[in-house]
Amino acid sequence: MRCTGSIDPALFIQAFEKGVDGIAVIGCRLEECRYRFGNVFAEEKLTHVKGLLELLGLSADRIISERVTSADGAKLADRLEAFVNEIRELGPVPITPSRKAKNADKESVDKEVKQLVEDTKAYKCVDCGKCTAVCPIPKFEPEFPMPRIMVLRSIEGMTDHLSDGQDIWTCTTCGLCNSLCPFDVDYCGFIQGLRAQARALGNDPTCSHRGLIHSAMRIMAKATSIRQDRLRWIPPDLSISERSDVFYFVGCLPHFDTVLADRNLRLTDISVAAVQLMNAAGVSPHISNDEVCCGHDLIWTGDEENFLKLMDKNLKIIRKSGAETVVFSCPECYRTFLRDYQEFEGDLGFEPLHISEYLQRLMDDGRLTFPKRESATPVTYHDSCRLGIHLEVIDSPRRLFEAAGLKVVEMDNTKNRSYCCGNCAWTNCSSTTMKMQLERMRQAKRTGAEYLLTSDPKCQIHLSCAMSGKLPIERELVDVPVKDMAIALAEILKGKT
Amino acid sequence: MREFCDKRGRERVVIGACSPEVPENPLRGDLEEAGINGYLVEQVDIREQCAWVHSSIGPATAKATALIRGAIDRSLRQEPLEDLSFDIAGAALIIGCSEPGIQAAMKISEAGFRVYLIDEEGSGRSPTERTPADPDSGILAGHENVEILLNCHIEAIDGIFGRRHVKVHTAQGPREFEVGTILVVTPREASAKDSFDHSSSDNPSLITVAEFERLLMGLEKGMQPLRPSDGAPLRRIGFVQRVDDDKEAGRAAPEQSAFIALAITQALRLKRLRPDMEIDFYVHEAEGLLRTSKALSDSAARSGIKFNSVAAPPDITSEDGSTLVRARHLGHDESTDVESDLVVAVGDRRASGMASRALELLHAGTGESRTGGDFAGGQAADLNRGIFVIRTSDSKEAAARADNETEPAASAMVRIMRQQTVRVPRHVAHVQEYRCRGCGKCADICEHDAIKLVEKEKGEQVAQIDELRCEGCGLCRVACCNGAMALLGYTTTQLLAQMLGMIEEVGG
Repeated sequence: MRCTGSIDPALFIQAFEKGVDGIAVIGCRLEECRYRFGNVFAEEKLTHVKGLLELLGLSADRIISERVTSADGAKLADRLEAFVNEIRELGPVPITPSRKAKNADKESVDKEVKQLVEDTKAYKCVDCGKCTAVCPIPKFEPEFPMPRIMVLRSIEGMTDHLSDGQDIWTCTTCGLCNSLCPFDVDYCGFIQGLRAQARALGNDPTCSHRGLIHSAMRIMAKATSIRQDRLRWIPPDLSISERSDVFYFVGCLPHFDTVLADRNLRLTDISVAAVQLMNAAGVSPHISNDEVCCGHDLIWTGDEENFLKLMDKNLKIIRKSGAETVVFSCPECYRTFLRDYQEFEGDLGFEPLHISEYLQRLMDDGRLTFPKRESATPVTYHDSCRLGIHLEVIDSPRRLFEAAGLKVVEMDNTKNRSYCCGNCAWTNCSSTTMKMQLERMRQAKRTGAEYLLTSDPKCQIHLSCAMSGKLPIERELVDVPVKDMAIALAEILKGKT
Repeated sequence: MREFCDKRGRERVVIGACSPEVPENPLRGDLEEAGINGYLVEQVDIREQCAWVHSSIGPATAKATALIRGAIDRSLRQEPLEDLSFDIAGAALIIGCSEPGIQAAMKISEAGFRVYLIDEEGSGRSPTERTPADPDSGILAGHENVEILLNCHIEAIDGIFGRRHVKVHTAQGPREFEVGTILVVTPREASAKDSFDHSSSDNPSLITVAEFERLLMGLEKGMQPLRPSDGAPLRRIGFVQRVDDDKEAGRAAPEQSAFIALAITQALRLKRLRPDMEIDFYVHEAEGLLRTSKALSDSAARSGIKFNSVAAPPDITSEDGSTLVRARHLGHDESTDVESDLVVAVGDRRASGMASRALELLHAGTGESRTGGDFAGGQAADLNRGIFVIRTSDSKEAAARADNETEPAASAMVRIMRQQTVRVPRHVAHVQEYRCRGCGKCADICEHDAIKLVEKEKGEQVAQIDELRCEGCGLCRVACCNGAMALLGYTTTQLLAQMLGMIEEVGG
């Protein structure tokens, strides 16, 4: 290690995931950085890591940073000894590290892939090429194998590419191919299944943030008897109930606010807005400190084992709460419950709903009304893959916008023919992703809308990521502010325009 | 060793030994001679890590095994690389003809190298001031290798380590020369405190970030900090951002914001030690400055540190031992007074005049934040290889330090020039173009001007590394959210493998 500033925060979180109980970062004194501000940068990153540890229910005291000179040997020894004692007092991190599984053999993988071809009806593919024509990736990355080529390879029993190919992780699983396939091949399900096999062969995806996010999710999956601290975002004026028919599932927004602290996205404001809107309709939802990540990003990176652990925890919490309806701000969580949880678990015993569907229902019942407004603000709406294409929830958000006095100007690709924000489950983000994001922002700008509204916090993260740095084109061509729909609606409700 | 490598076709070696990790490690040299790429050799310093620091044999041995296991796993992921190589010109440039400059010039010329000793001022000032050497004074008689250029102005310093091309303007006209090493002797620097009015800079309760750091270290050792004016206990501390009056638009901001980040970290340490301490921050242009360290200031605010966004730098006055901070908050007409026991001036002042110009051209900074440590004692930082800075000042402490630094700096310069060719490990940043989104965050964080964005094709930008400027600090790879930036020899994949190897060995 050359500088504590060069330690990727992911290393800390991955160490805890593997069962480490405490980490001491030992570096130069702050004002003596050989590289100017490396250690100040390190301290800043450490505050993010500590924030994440607190959220996860691992004490922030499990990391210390000691800034010493070569003359401080005795002092350091004392400090480390004290630290070890502090860790002993805290006890071990309640995570059982999983043994590194041996890579699956080719034979079993071939068998699984064969089954997958059956399950997803991939065998029905007639090589018509509709999926290829609509896939957004090859336009920017001509060497990307068309969806149907991946299918045909598998039908032919060619599985070698699974052990090291990156293409399997490049697909954004946006689902346009699914929606256009005349023979109902479930291409997204096929990719999801192939990824589990790729992973079994030791082919891990290259993830943004060096896998820190997935690692945090695995900690949530594996940790037992851990007290999370995930409700800090709730302001005192929100009405929350200990028991309610409605369970509001927050998802990973507090975690993203911490991990992406540099970007200052304030994603938990989305949850605040969602609850404010529910409150305005007289609904006081239950929010649980014990919910965990839905597991979307794990199952889409082939980690079924930990996905199932998360699913079990969530279902237990929700069923125990007695809620009949579970409302999601994040379409990924929503899809995961509606599709994946039901696939493994059958009937869930409660109704999952996206916030837009739920608010529409409240509006239809006359419980939620928006103030009349003089002029309609032009906005455009980005249908996320999960909500718009996979689940075809298209009208609810638009009806809400209309009721709130917003005029939706549609982009070139819209509704169930939407255009992906470029990334899913943080895998293989690249220069291609950036180009897709700029293309989407260009579409939004061309509509003349004042805002690009999203209903998916992840799309907001990814699209605003593209805008947060330097651009290869004129900024005027793409600069539309990205805003979550719940925040926009709550602002209108409060009389802000 | 050669036989071992030849016979068995070994490519990678892990040394678990008692020798410390030093560049001159003979074993490493032997292995390289035997045809093994030096980057495929990992070393674990068993003596430093285990034998010397642990008293019981069992756990120490277990630790040694884990360290070696980690090194093996890391070694398996190393790539063979070539060193960077620099030719060194046999001439030195010394900027600033004051005492340390002259001493260094004599020493370097005695070693047989040419020295250009330059100063922006002429000769003939009174000897009580730290004057440039008068060429007629005879002090450098017999040192024909030293050329003194007075009334000199630096036009440009180009080139890279080892062969920097210097263009100066003298009374006699322009001169150009090539130098292998550079020593910058800065004139007395104003303290951050000087930007406050004169009466307050005499106030013992107004201290600098560096002075506060010493106080904090005392506190961490268990000492009780007292009010400097009268020894009363400390209850309330203000951090006041000093604003440069000669601030060039847009230039000072990154340094200022780094300083604020440093001060916030100090405040957090203080708050951790003394939760009851009231801490106020007075920040000018808070939006822009705090942006880069948002998380840090947020976490500080959560620990109860108050941030005040002020319209102008506060007035500092002292009264009966306590210090009054009078600040006008942004958007308010009235000023408010806060009584503080101690006020920390947060900020930096650049070196002035020619030294400042030289450091700017060399992309090297100086100031209170870096107590000369980078450059002192012959330990040039990698990028600034061959650049040394000695800060002089009126204070006794600084003068003594300058004395102590001169000899080692001159020796180090001689040592570098004697080598003629310097090989530097290629531990530099590397861009994986496919993953680079061209956002430029790496370039923003780079303190060494080593990264720029270039157009890859129309509508696509990619980061490009200047390997000669890169110091290998690795901040860019943390700034890159996408893993596009690697630090050769220390990639996250390698570090992760090493870490997981160690964890697995001790049983997770």
